[in-house]
Amino acid sequence: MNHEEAATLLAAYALDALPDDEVAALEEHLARCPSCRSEVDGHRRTAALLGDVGAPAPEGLWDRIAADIAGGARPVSAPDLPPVATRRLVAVPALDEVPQAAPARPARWPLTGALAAAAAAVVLAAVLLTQVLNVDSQVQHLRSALRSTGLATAIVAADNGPHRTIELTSATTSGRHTVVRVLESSDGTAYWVWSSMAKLPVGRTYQIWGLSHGKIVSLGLAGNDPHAYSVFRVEPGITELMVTAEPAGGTPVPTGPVLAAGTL
Amino acid sequence: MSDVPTDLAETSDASLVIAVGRWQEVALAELYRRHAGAVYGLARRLLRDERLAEEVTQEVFVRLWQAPDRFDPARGSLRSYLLSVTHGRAVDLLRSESSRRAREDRAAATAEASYDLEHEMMDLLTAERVREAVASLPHAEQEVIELAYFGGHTYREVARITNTPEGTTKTRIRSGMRRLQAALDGIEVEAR
Repeated sequence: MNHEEAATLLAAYALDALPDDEVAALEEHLARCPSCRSEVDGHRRTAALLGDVGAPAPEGLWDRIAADIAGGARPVSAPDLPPVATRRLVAVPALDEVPQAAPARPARWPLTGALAAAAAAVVLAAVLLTQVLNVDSQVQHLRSALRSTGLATAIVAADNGPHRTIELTSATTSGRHTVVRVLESSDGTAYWVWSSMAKLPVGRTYQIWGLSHGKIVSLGLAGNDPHAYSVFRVEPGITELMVTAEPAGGTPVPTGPVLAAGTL
Repeated sequence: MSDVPTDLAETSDASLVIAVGRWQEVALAELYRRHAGAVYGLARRLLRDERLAEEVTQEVFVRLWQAPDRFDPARGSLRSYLLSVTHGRAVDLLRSESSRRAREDRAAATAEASYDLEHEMMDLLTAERVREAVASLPHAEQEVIELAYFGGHTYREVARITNTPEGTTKTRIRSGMRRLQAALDGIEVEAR
């Protein structure tokens, strides 16, 4: 199909009005024609304006969806083995694993020399200034919580049993303030649920570190948008959490200043 | 807990989709809260069947859960994407064998149906602009777009219903959509 023939079909295609026997040929053209793809996208946005008719969603529908995704429809169980394509967190080896056995992208390194001293100083300051709040309070179950409050905290907690809030703080001219909140459930799953930190430019990421017996361990990447949720694991033995800004993809050791720190 | 300023309501669609990619059910639930009404409303409008519309809504959100990376923010808002997926799925159902008869029965009525978006859309100002833009189209273009988009008909079927050559019908759909796009420039369905 040449470009001129394809062009006459783009709007019909965007409206799902192309007969089945013409779809394959057009899609073949679309795969190699950015300008036609762009026109289809434009038609679809316009169609969405027509189609945004709205209606109250039926009662009980979310419950069915929640049951669906919690059951066999979920390809892998979270948070243990999420697909690489949709997950940015770094795998965390067990803490008693020997360094030589670390994966290609190592997740922990012995701290030495000046770096250790600097990190220890930061951690000590954080230990003194960080609050740990125990919030093993009763919370509503996920679905009812969603309907009534929309609070992520309550919901994350509800789905993960007893948990605590870890506040990561940062020093500013006006004192120390909480800049990141993490919920840690009793099984070690931790959720980055709130942050007041700024979004980083593309190509940068927030990286989460843990301190375990004098070693700094990479716990994962939170991406460049700190307002998105992240999940990572806090293995036994980790006593402090820290956050730095690093190049996208993360670094083996912290290269930037500690932006937030908190004790467990 | 009430002092924890972790309100999903303030999180952008794009961030929530990333969280869905990390299997955060709460993020999907918040996206459902925002967009399920639109998805369900469009499905019901096309299918005229509440049970089928619910099924489509469920499929759309389960699909978002399983493949959130299919949404590309560079190509439009999440609402646009979800409505596009909804439309495609609803049209598939309309064209399935079991509903062919019903579709044929519906053809005449659909051709005369008028837009009544203003009572249903959340954003009345946008609704008014959409209504005006549609009303400003030449009648023949209005008719083919409505038959194709809300009737779920292929352009060939639209040509038959309107007794117009297929080539003319394709041209009208495209020129009508381009006119609408120009008239609605700068508006997009709920992008957060």
